[in-house]
Amino acid sequence: MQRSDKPAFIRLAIWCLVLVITSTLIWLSLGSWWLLPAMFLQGVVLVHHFSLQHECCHYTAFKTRWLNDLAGNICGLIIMLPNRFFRYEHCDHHTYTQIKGQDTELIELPPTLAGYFYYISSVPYWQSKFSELWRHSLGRLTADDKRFVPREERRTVIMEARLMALFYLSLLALCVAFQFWYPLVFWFLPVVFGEPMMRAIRMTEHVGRPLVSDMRFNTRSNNVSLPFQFLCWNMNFHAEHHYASSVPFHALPALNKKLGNYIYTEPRGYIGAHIDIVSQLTGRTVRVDANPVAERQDQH
Amino acid sequence: MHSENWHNLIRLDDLYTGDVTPVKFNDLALAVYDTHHGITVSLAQCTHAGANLCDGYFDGKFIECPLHQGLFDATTGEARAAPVVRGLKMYECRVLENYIQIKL
Repeated sequence: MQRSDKPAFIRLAIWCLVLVITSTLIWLSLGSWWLLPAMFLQGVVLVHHFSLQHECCHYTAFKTRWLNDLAGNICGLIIMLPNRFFRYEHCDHHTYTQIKGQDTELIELPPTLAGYFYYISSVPYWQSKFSELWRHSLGRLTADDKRFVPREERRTVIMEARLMALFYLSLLALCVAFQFWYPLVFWFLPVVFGEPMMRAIRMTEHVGRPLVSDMRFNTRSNNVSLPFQFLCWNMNFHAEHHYASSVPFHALPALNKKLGNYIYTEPRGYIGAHIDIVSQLTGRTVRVDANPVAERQDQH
Repeated sequence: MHSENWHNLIRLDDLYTGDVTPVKFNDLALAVYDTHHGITVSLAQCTHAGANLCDGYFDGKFIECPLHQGLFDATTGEARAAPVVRGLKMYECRVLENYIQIKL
C-alpha cells in the first residue's frame, strides 16, 4: 500500500491521449450534428478530473506531495472546484459520512423520481457551485464553511475563489472580444454536458445506503468496467477508500481483495446502484430514511 | 528497567519496521516512529484536530495526519504542511537492552 509517483504518471499519459482523441472528435465534427455527442464524450472525460482531484486532495495520487497540490489545482480549474476548499470540505465528509446535518457532501435520497432526475440533471449542482464561488470571492464563508475550513486556511480559500473567478471572467471576456469560441466548444460546454454523468456516478457512492456512521454499511463500492475504473482513478472502490483514505489509488484493487465482504460492494456496478436507488423511490424497497437511526458522532 | 526519568516503552522487536507504532504509556497515547534517521517518539494526537497519527501515512520521515493530511516531520515534530501549525510534543528516547525508553 506504499505510495508511488509512477502509476499516476502512467495513467496521466494515457489520460492525455484520451483527451487528444476526444478533442480530435470535436474538431472533426465541427459544423455538424456530430458535434453534440463529441462534446458529450469529451465532457465525460473532463468531469472525471474530479476523480483525480479527489485523489490529490487525499495525497493518494502521487507520492510527491506538491505534485498532488499541482494536479489538484489544475483539475479544480478545469471543473470549477477550488482545490483547497474542496480538500477541507471533503475531509469533513470522511469524518461525518452519511450523517445528516453534519456530512457536508451528503446527497440525500431524493423524495421523488422527479427529484432524482432533477439532481442528475446537475442543475442544483451548478447552482450550488456558482453561488459558492461567488460567495467565497466576496470573502464570505458560511457558518458551515467555517466549521471545516481551519482558521489558518480561510484567507487562502477566499483568494483561490477570487483567482478562479477572475480567470474565468477574463477568459470569457477574451472569447467575446475576439469572437474565439474554442474554449466553449472544447471545454466549458463539454463539462456542462458531462456533469450529469458525474452526478449519477456520485450518487452510487452513498445514496440509498443506510444513514449511519459505520462505513461498512454507509458506503457502496461498485464493480464497474475497466474504462470507467480508469476514468474514476479506481474510485469505484469507494468503500475501500472510506475504510483507509490514505491508501493510494493504485492499491485500491488490492485492498478490495483484502477486505472482501467486510464492506458493501454492488456487483451490478453503477447501474445496479441506481436500480437500488430507484427501487427505494418507487416503493419497491424500503427507503433508507424511512426509519432514521438516531445517531450522532461527536468529533473534536 | 529504568533510571532517572527513563521508562521502558516498547521492546525493539515489537516495533513496526519502517513504520509508526502506537504505544500506550500510562495515560499517554504515543507514536513511535522508525524513521530513516533513528527512532523518535511523539504524542500520537495531531495538534490540529486530535486525530491519531498512528493511522496516518508515514514515509520514514514525515507523518501525515489521516484526517486532514496535515504533515509533521517525525524526526523533529515540526509542523510542515497545512492545516497543522503547531509542532508535535516530542519525547527524548533511547534504546537500552532491547527496549525503547523515553524520558519523562
